[in-house]
Amino acid sequence: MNPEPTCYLILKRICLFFSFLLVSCNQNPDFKISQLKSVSKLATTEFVVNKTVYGHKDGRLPIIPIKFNRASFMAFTEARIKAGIDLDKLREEDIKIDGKKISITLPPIEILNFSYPAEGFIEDNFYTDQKKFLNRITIEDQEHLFRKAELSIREQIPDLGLEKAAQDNARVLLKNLLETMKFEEIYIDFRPAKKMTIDTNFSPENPE
Amino acid sequence: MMKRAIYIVILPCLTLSFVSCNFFRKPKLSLKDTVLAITEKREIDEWIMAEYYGEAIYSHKEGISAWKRAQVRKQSLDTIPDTLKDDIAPWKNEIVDFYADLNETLRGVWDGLEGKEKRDKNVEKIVREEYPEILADRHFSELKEIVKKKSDRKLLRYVRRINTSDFQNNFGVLGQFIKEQEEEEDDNKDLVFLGRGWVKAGINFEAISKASIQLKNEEEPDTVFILNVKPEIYNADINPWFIPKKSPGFEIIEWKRKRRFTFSEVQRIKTGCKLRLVHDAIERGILDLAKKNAEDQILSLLNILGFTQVKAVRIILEETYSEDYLVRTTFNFGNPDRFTETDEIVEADELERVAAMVDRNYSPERQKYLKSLIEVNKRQWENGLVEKFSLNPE
Repeated sequence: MNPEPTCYLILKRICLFFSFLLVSCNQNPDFKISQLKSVSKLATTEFVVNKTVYGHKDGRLPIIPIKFNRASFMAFTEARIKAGIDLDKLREEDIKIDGKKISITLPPIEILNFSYPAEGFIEDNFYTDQKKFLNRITIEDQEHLFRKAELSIREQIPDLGLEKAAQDNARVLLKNLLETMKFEEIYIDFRPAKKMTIDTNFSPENPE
Repeated sequence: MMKRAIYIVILPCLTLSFVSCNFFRKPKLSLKDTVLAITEKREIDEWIMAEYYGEAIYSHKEGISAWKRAQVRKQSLDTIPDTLKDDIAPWKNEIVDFYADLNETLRGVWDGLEGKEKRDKNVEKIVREEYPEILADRHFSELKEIVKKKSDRKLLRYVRRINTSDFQNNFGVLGQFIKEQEEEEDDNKDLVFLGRGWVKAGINFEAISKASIQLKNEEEPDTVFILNVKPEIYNADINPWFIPKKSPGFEIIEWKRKRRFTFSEVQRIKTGCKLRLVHDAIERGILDLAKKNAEDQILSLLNILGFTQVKAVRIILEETYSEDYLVRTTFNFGNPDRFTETDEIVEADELERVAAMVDRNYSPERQKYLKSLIEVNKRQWENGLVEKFSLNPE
């Protein structure tokens, strides 16, 4: 039996190496999520923000480093951000009752929901020019642009002034509730927050 | 010798130039920095009680089929004469279902026709001549069954009228519609999205403080009963990112022959994913969990505020998960104003399917439980025993 030629062996190993690379690159990060869980979060404020997504892709000629045939895509998008308090974090020592007087220190304001719904996206047909010679903005490219836009919106959330508005509304809501329970003196405060978190939509703990 | 020279000199040069010029790299996609504008600030009072995280798959073909079903319903409704619309309003759904079903049968007939007959472009005539039983027997007997159940003269009048001339006209319109749909169908075009997202359900916090009637029940003196606070779906989202920078919200899992899809077609598929996610969440019992958790949370809040005499809280839902209720609550997410007419129809159609499923799965048990509780309270109302639960901290 003839041994395999050396060049064939090398080629085979290279193929194996690249196929391994391809497989490992395509794997999604391994994570577990809890499918259905109980929570207790009081959303008190919703902000609606608009962002124009404008992206482009430059065509490239083989070898020659010249950009040509720029394809562009524009869409008007809308995000809805809800902020409030996680009542699961309310501890017994946060509430002090003295007759008809009550003092509550509430947990810090958090982003409780970030919604960037696809059905709220409107394509701008005037500025969108997705198909050029040897260059096209595909559906995958659009997804990529929307992901970038989402990250950009999330980065700006702490500067929107949500915290103050959410605190004010939470105070009003709780005050109304406590008044119906015959409390006459009501003091509501908040525990200080380090920074408003931007990815609290995902709660991976306690899988079912 | 010449070959060796090519291998040694030219090939490495070419490779180097390819790599240095990014020959193998994809064209760069860039996003321009744009301003983030706050358009609305709103006070809300959503007490989220349950969350569901999951995945849903939806395809272009499924969307088309749902769209067709919705179109059939719309078309069927349009063909009902205006003069009769008010008369038949109470049974609108039954009649629209009847027409939709009729259309399915006609579709079956169309599929059964030979190619030559199809090319005749005179399907209506063929069906009328060769399948008179469709017009004569089956459907009218079905409609008569509906009439029997309703036993109403107005509906009977309606059936008599369509039996003569209107029905023939309606049949013509529907037949034409089927033909158009068949021509538009493209079997080779499909795009399938996998969406990862969440659904959140809860109750209205303000409703509790405005007290939605808190009743003292003599049979269960330590229990607070709360009426008319319904668990609702407050959020249903599949964002571009599921976990930012780690896992995307939408992924294309099949794209047949890389066919082109319009922006609105892609949106329709994504909306389908979201509706399926809502459906899955409801099927897993998100609304039931929200209600149960709401009872626990209100009890815990009352106890922590000093009302230790309260040992249990029970929310009594007078309205079960009816079709209308589900459609209304589920429409809260997103922005329906932005939908085109056809998108709304697809959504409503899908939701009706969801609602029907929920009714089947949850109604009997819920009805039994609620009826027993409501009955107790009704008796108390009637006997004048109902009084506001007077809450005073110990």
